Amino acid sequence: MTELASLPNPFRDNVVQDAWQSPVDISEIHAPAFDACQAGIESAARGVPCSLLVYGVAGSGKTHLLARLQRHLAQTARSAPDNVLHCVFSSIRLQTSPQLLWQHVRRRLATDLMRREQGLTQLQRLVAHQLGIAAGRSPRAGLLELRVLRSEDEPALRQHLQTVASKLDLPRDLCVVIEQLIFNRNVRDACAWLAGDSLPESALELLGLGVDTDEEREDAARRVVTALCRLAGETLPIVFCFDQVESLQRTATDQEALYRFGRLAADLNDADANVFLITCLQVAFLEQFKAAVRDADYDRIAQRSVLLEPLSAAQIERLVLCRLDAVPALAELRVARPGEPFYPFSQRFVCELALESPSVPRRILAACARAFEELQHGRSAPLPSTSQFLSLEFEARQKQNFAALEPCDTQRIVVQGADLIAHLEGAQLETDAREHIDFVITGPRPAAISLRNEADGRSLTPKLKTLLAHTQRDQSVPLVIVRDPRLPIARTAIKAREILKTLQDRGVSLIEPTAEALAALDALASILGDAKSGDLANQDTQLESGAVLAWLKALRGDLTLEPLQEFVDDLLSSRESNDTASEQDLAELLRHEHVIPVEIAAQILDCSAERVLDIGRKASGHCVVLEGPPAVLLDVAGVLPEAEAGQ
Amino acid sequence: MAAKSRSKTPKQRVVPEDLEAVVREALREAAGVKLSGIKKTLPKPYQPFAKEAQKLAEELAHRGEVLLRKAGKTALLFARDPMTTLSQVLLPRLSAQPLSEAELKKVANELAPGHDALLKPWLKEQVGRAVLHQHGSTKSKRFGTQPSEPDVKKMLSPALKSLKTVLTKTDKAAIPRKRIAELLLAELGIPTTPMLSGNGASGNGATRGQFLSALTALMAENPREALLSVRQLRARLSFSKEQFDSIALELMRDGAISLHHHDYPASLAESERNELVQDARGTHYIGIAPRRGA
Repeated sequence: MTELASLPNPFRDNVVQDAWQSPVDISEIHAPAFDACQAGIESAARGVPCSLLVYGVAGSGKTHLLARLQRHLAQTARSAPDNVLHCVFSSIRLQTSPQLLWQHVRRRLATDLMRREQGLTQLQRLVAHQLGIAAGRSPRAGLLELRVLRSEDEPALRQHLQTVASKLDLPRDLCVVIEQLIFNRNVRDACAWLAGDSLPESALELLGLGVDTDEEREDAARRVVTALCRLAGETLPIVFCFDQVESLQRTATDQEALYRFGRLAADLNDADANVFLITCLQVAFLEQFKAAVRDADYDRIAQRSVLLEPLSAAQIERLVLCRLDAVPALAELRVARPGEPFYPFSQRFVCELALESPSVPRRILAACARAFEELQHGRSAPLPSTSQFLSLEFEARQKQNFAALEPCDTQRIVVQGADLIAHLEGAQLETDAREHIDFVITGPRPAAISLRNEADGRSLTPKLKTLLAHTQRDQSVPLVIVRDPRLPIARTAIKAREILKTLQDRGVSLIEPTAEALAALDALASILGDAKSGDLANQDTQLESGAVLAWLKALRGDLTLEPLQEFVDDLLSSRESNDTASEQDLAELLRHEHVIPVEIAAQILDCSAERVLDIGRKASGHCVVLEGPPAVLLDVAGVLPEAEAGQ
Repeated sequence: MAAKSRSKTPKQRVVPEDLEAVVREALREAAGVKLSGIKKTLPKPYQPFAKEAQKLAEELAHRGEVLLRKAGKTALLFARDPMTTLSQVLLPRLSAQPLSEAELKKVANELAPGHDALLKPWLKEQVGRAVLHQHGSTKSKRFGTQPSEPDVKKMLSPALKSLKTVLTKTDKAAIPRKRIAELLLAELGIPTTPMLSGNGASGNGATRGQFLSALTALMAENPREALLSVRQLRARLSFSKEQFDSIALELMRDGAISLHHHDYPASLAESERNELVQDARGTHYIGIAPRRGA
């Protein structure tokens, strides 16, 4: 056993997942690209909107560059002119459906605005900055005041927000929510609103907002995002970093997705003079991107461009040394061998790394990881086969998702996973925008899918009405409504229930995917998204989307896909059911009680115990029946993921 | 009762759309497969399409997307260049210590299954390129990355003795030792002044000049673009594909330009692929940029 055997391999973990990570960094690598990012921020700070296109092959360090920028901005915030913030920073991996692009950007921007540092969120720092300037004091003073806000400060802040709102034409709802977030009130609901979640009437009332009616959600998201740009841009630059643009594409030739991204980016560029856009693209998209995006939009997105070059021999040496020295125990061993600068590697090995083609960081690190493992154990672990690697990746991501998914994620997951659903069915997908339909699966078992995840009857009813207006009896393509099982339709939502019943009489089905099926679909979509963006690598072997889809097809019928397969079968085998209202009643009851004997449930729902048992057995997305005696119903729609998360 | 007549119509075979992706994947996982053995590498649902898969594999080999390598009389399929794979797997081991052919075969079987049939030609190639050196006699033959160096000092001892005698005289005559060293280096054929780069390139100066001028013009027309399209540059020059590709690759080797590869050229039509630059390893380059400081 060598002295290296027990040490961690310093070359593993060579994919940076997002810009908020803090990977080991070497500033000489891609220094020109980093300088270009800083120049862009300075330009936006002067009120000249700027944009930068960053080209690089897979594994060249595009996301790493964004992480370096984010960390640099955080570390140098104290040296910023205002001592508070350099700029507002948001990093957006575009793993979503092109139909939900603005909603995705809204969610990511809201998440990033709510990131805390030293107890204050980015949003609070931004408002503090403005308060300071408005009051003619230093922004630092504004920040300190914000830390100790007292109730008597509230009118002044409200006054300030009103002034800013009328000057910048900000929507009232947004100002009300920001006010709550500044004062740390109703934070959970306010954050959810800012991110674009559909909220029940009670939560909206608490926030002091009107009812979420039938506004188109993409339009609403665009209005909120551009308003936030205006708010931030009033005093500070706002930086949007777009990564994994490629994963928007449903197929390799999908121009529409890139076109939509171009439109969004151009709108952001126009939203305020202080906006700086960074777009990371794979080299392979050099021509396709330019061809798909409108010329006027391209001019806004790519005012400048920069290229991530392959590493030079000197940079490779620095990278290897930096990783070797990042493990303290290894660094100690290395100190004892001053004659071997790259211990445990030979000089020759490090020189030969420059021959790797292309010599990009991910490839260099993978080669080093393998060699280090050999030195540790006499042999490197054999490269897992593609199917082994993908199965492990799927299992890990599914487990991670299962614990974290919220009802508000359901729409994104199902719409983003639409092409996977079509692939599993061996059918085609149509995403032509129709008011009431999210996508259509064509083929032997066609279905038009409408995601209806509105929080309560007030917001759901208008959507169902629209559906009803467009739905004829015996449609050639059956309509299927998908709704998260954790959002039962309350008994008080009489109108919504009535319309739903009419829709069902016309042959429309209501499907509630299980948390397992959603977690599986989300995991598969994220794997596919990574593959499309060149970010899926089995050690140094990059996997393309074709490999993922082939693996998925070979997996059909496998037990690991069972929950998802069941969901797909439910979606595409239209069925009529008259039990929906009863299922919703039971779901609502269980949401409050979690565990309830069947006899008591029967009394509350005013039906027989046999009927309750029958509904309970059918509604596997909501509950589990413990046969007893006495027979008991358990809520699983919300409880299981929580229990998993607790473990 | 009249007998029912049954007409038999042969079932039409519908070849799965993704068979090519499956074949490519199968070849990636199972290196060194014979064409006739491709069926075993396919997932079960695809095995009935073995003949079509075999044909697809031949087409992929023809397009240069997989490699068909001969080991003796047998042609074997590889997704990546097997010689490169063997180099990646075996050279790190050999840089640690010399190994015999049997030992190398064991390592190859373990780390690069399916490649052992090409071990002999790989060894021959590496020894020929002086990457590897043979140690010991035929019986105990081993291979290592360092030559088994003879005692050079002993071999040179008569010359060194004479040199010492000469140095006493040159020192007395105040001839600088640097001058002596330069003369000795010249005698050994080692130049003492830096070589001019680029002159020895195989492409003639005029065509390289035209290539670089066209690149400069393209850059001037697209001042905001850090990366330019190989396709656009090709359209500006009336070079043959071979000439254009070889000049581009040569300039990259010389460090004058950088070429940037397409991660998934299989997604392009053959005509589109032909417009990119392709190197000997089958890498397709889509982007071109002048090197900083070149």
